[in-house]
Amino acid sequence: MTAITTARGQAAQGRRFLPNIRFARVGWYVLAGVTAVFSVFPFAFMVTGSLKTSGEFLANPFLLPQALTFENFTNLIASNFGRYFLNSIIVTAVGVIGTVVLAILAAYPLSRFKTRLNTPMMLLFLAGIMVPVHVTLIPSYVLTQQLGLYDSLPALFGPFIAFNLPVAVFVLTGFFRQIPESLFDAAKIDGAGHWQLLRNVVIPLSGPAISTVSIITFIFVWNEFVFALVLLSSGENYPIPLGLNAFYGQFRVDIPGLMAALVVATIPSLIFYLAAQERVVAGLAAGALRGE
Amino acid sequence: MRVRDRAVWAAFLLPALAVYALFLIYPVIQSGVLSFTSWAGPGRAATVVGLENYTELLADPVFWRAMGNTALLLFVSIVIQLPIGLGLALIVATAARAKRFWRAIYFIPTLMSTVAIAILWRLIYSPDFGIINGFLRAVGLGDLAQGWLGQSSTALAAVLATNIWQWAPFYMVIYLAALAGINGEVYEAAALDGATPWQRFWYVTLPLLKPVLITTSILSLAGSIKAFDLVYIMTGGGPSSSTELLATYMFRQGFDNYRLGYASTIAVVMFLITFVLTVLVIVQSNRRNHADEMRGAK
Repeated sequence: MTAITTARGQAAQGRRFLPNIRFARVGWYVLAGVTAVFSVFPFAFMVTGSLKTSGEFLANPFLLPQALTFENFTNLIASNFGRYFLNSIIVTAVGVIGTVVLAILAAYPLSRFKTRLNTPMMLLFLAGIMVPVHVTLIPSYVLTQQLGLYDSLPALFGPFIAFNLPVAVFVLTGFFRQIPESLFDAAKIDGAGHWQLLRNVVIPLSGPAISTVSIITFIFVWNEFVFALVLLSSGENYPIPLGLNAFYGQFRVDIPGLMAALVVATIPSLIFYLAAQERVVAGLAAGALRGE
Repeated sequence: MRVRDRAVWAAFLLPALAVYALFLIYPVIQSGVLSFTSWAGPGRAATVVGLENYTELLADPVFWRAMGNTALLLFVSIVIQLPIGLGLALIVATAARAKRFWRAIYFIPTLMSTVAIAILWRLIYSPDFGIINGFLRAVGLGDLAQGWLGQSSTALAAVLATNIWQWAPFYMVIYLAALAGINGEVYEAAALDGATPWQRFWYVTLPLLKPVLITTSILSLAGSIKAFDLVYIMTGGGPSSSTELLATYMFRQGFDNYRLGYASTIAVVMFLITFVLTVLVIVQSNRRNHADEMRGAK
């Protein structure tokens, strides 16, 4: 009986996964604390470094700053960083909206129409999940030049959307399939066509799936590096990851200045995570657990 | 399906399919075609060279170095990174309170952009003001201080460690979702049968996680084969190719040396390896499931 009672309750709920129970709490805090230090120290190094002057950083790279200086951040305003930030916002907005819209359009027939063509079409999209970006790099580079898009932000739109479509179509198709048939029948009796069904039934009910897809796409596009590296050449078109790399070459001596740029580049992801923690986690898990 | 429905079906799929075909399917096929040519880039003539690129590749020591390093990355990802991710998930799952807080703390590395991580870790490994050497000097092990990324003997290990640090929390999140889905009753049943906590972990938790372990292995192998950003910024594949991966070597041949045909050959190899390994893992796991079902039926 005791075994049953200990297996219940909030505090005991977690214990079932881990072997030890007796020294659990103290041991747990030591383990969790040490692990946390390992996880966070580079982040702390970055934040504290960004608040030091160059002189102080060289004298004392690791400890907390003696006096806080925000000069590194104000210097960023005068640099190209604002431009990089704007480029990233444009590319991310188009990437996310484009992926979501196209994936909704594709998931609707795949989930609501009965045809033998659905399975091969779905497999075609799923296969894209496994394709390494590098396999498309050279042809994309050539194609972008042929389309006259080389070294412009629109060069990134096609590859970004294409690489995010597989997971997006998969997640949305799965979700749309679960919408009860009765809701569609009711709308059809009112004479709704496909557009109305999509607009008035499917989309309003699919908030969670659409936000999941948006999050997965946001994380990919915001951090994407290699397509930008290959398809852009002038600094004014760089999104943040490429801009940071350029900064690194330029600011090699001014490390606190570089740290400030890294901090600003990291903030949007952090805010995003803190604001929508459960959604982000669900999004990543859904992206990863596809095929289950 | 009626003809009209068929047309509607196709019309809805068309925009996504067009983008997907133009920017993903066509480039994959085109890479295959280019791998049989010698080409110095747009504006130059491409010559068909048959299998020449492939025979050159098989005799290219740097390619084999890149293959070996990529294989090591793959091995380390599955054997070290996934267990660490599971360990992190277990720490969070067993927290008495504030699970979300611990999850957020551990998740920070995966939230940061790879470029930021690569730059930070270059500074951390730096011979003069890096944290690692600073720590070694502080505890009196100054003799061990060295330029971790600048020498062939340590560069690969240093890069692999950073890669584990970055991605283990990603797998943690997936394992946490899977752990939350396990029904508590199975543990009660195991406890009633007198299972020790270790036995419960080994004979209950792990088998129940098997589907997720397989998915994460697939993700992890796909991730290893396309790994690029971190190495490109941290070491550029050097010193003397000691950290070269398939992706960095492909990039170097294509965009530094302008050998687009040869680079495409490396891309094709990357594609084939991912394809074959994925199929192997899926077939293998299906076979095991089948065997389990047979055993269960007895």
